[in-house]
Amino acid sequence: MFFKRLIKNKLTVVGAVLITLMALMAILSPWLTTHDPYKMDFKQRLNPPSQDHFLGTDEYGRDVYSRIVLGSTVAMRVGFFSVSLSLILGVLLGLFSGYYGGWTDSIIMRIMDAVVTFPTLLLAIGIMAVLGPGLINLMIAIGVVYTPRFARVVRSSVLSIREKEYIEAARVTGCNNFSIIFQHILPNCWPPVIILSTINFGYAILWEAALSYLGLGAPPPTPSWGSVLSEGKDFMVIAPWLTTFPGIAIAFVVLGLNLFGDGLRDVLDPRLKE
Amino acid sequence: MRVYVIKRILTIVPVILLVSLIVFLLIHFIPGDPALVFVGEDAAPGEVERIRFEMGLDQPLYIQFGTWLAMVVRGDFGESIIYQRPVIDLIWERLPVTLSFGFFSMLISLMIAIPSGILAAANQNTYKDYFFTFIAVLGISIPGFWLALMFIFTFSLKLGWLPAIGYIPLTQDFWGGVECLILPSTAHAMLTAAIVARMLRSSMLEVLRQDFITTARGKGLPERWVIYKHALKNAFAPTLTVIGFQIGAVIGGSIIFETIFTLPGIGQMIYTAIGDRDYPVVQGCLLVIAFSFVLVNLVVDLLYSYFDPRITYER
Amino acid sequence: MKEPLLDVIELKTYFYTLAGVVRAVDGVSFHLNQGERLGIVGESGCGKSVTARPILRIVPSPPGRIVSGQINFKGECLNQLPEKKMNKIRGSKISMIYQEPMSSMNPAFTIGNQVGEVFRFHHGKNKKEAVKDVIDIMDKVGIPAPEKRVNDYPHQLSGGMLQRVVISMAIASRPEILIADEPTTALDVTIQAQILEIINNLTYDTGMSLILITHDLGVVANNVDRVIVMYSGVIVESGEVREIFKNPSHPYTQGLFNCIPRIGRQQDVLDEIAGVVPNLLNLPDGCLFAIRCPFVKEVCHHQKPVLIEVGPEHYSRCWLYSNGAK
Repeated sequence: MFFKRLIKNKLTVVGAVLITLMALMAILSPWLTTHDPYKMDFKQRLNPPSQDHFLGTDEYGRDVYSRIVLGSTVAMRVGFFSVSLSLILGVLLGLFSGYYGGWTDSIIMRIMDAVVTFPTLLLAIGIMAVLGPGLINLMIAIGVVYTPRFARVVRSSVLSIREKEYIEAARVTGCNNFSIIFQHILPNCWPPVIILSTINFGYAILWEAALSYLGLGAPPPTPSWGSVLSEGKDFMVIAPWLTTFPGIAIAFVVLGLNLFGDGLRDVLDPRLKE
Repeated sequence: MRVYVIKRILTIVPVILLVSLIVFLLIHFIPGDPALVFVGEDAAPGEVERIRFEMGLDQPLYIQFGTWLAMVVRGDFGESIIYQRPVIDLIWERLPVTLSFGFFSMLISLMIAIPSGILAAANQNTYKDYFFTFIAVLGISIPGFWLALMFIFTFSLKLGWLPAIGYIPLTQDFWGGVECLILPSTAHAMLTAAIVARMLRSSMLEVLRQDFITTARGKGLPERWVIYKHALKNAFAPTLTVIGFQIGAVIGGSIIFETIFTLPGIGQMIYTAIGDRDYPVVQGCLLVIAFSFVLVNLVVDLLYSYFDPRITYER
Repeated sequence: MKEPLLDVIELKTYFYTLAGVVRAVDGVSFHLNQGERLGIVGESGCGKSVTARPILRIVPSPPGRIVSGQINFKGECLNQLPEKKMNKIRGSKISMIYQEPMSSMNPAFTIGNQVGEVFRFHHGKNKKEAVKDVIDIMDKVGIPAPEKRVNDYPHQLSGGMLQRVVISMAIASRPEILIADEPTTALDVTIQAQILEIINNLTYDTGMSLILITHDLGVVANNVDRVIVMYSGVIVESGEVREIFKNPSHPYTQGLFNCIPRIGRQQDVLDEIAGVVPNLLNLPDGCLFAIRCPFVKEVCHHQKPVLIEVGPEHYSRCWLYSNGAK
């Protein structure tokens, strides 16, 4: 029944297809690259797309296509680690905040509010300014920035579940707080968390691109999509393929994640069930 | 009603304090020594200590925070290390640029988003709806700066219709200024419009399922009236919250867009200041940005009660 | 015999859901005469609300659809009427009031604004003129201090008061038919009596016809002239109210009456109708009530009974009466 509803929306299916394609690209990347993504060839600098180099070459003569293929693995990693970080932190904060209420709740939520008050880019830049540039710090920064979203969503779920009778029943039969939180309340918080994870995966990839563009991301020669784009921006006039293709790749994945996440939301959101 | 307004304004205070604390701590923990930056690499040995003492950097953290807070409240954001001018003056000069960029961006954004959202909801599950939804999701899937670069490439370099860089104040030359702003504003508007349109659409869908819509139809009101009067007002309330966030996003987006399009606004200033390690400027800008965001959210919350009178009476 | 004001002929309204087709209304026919008060009775889910909505053509259109049947108002067929003409009838010739007053009013606009819409659209008044009319009509249904209420929002009023507002909105144009869909179910018993009295007075004063939909037999007793009893999307019994109360002929109707606890009678266990309402996605062959019927016969499981006259103007859909009277 769940599957049927999910498939009914054609856009969701498109999303799922896009995600699968990208995941496949990342997994099969060693076999899909035509050249060594790191190999420089100064005789082939800034070549337009050709039979040999499908998407052209960059300023160091490296094959853009292969760098983009390898970049998909970076994108997957960035998405996965950032989302995991926000998820773990956010879920824990949301659970405790929602369940215990009172001062714990006020303090945690005020902090979350303060974090949310910063435009995302600023906060990410701020955190990276403290931690220093690099891919891992980037993933931490994005993870921290998106934590409040998870916390808030989990907290609202907890608040509505907390009052239900089966929680009362559990307490009366002697379950301690910890087991109530983790065995009874947590399992019911999953739907919005899953939706949020899917969508934030996409946002993490977008932010990686933005931060790399500003020079704060993966150090060269790592071929993250953002850094390939960033390296290409100075050559817009003579070699537009350097900026165009990574952007298209990013758009594909994020589009897929968003479409699929929307579809999930349409199906999982209990308010929409008829 | 008045109670609600006052209560709401009071909740800002702890948030602002926390925000200031975060800004202060962030700046403090950035590696690098401001005193060193100030005097330069080749200063005499005692110089650095002297400057550090003068800047108050040897005091314990909480005293530094307190002094800084006291200065901020008086409107003194310190002096830029690079420009040797009061930060507040620099901010004041550049604010109009960012504001005009933001204004046009939101204007274009809403002009696109509101009709799209309504149309998509009114024609749910038809191809029109799928089309709009697809474009909207595409809008939020594209990296903003990439779109900006593509815009520059197409409209400036290839077609030569609009200038890519530079800024003319609107007060100086209105249409010339607008020309400079069209490209960045529209590029940015694409991103925010998508989010607003989606929110409006889902809001409208939810509202259209409500009983009072059936009542309105049962009264014999024409469908247009039902949608644009009855449904829209109710759907607008949650959408307003999203619009508020988008205004905040403009401020964030200004960093990238002003840098790409060479608009001398606050975003560009904060970006170069970070690179130059000009801490007072970074601090001041962060503060101004965060405060304006808080302010925007407050206005949004207060406006909310116009669209949904029920909330002023809760509790 | 004069032509009926409203004539519903073999109405079928189905809902097409992901789980299957729900036959909410499966061949229902009835008529309403001028000045008459008709009650439609049945438990939740029997299709009584869905019988009324197609009259105004406000069935939620996916997933619901009027599959077949005709609805005639004063001889004119409403099914194919263009939307513009239909709007002239809705809220003006035929009006409807609903179960939950709080959710049937728009929370974002004042009640003066919403009631005023009827005057602005159906009587061409402008905003200012409409306000006076609104105050008049609210006074008529007994709302105290209507001039102050005009600027209130729906959530500021109590349920009973708001339902009066809804009624005033419905009768503002002096409709010929008022359809009341469970108007008192969400209200306290004391308020119920008041609301029903208001509705009754309106029918007497203006000659307005009424369709009163409810699950409460007590509401039906004093407030209608004729009754239709519905079960699982079909009419199982119909007739004049006194006749039905004296001689309920269909086993379901009898069961309903038996369920009412009688004051003064010693009862340890409340009577009930055994079994549950059939799943509308999976209807049985034969009579839909067969599995719960205390008088069930073999034929009931295989063939659907038709409406048979069992008394003056009194019809029943049961195999018990296939030979005429029982």
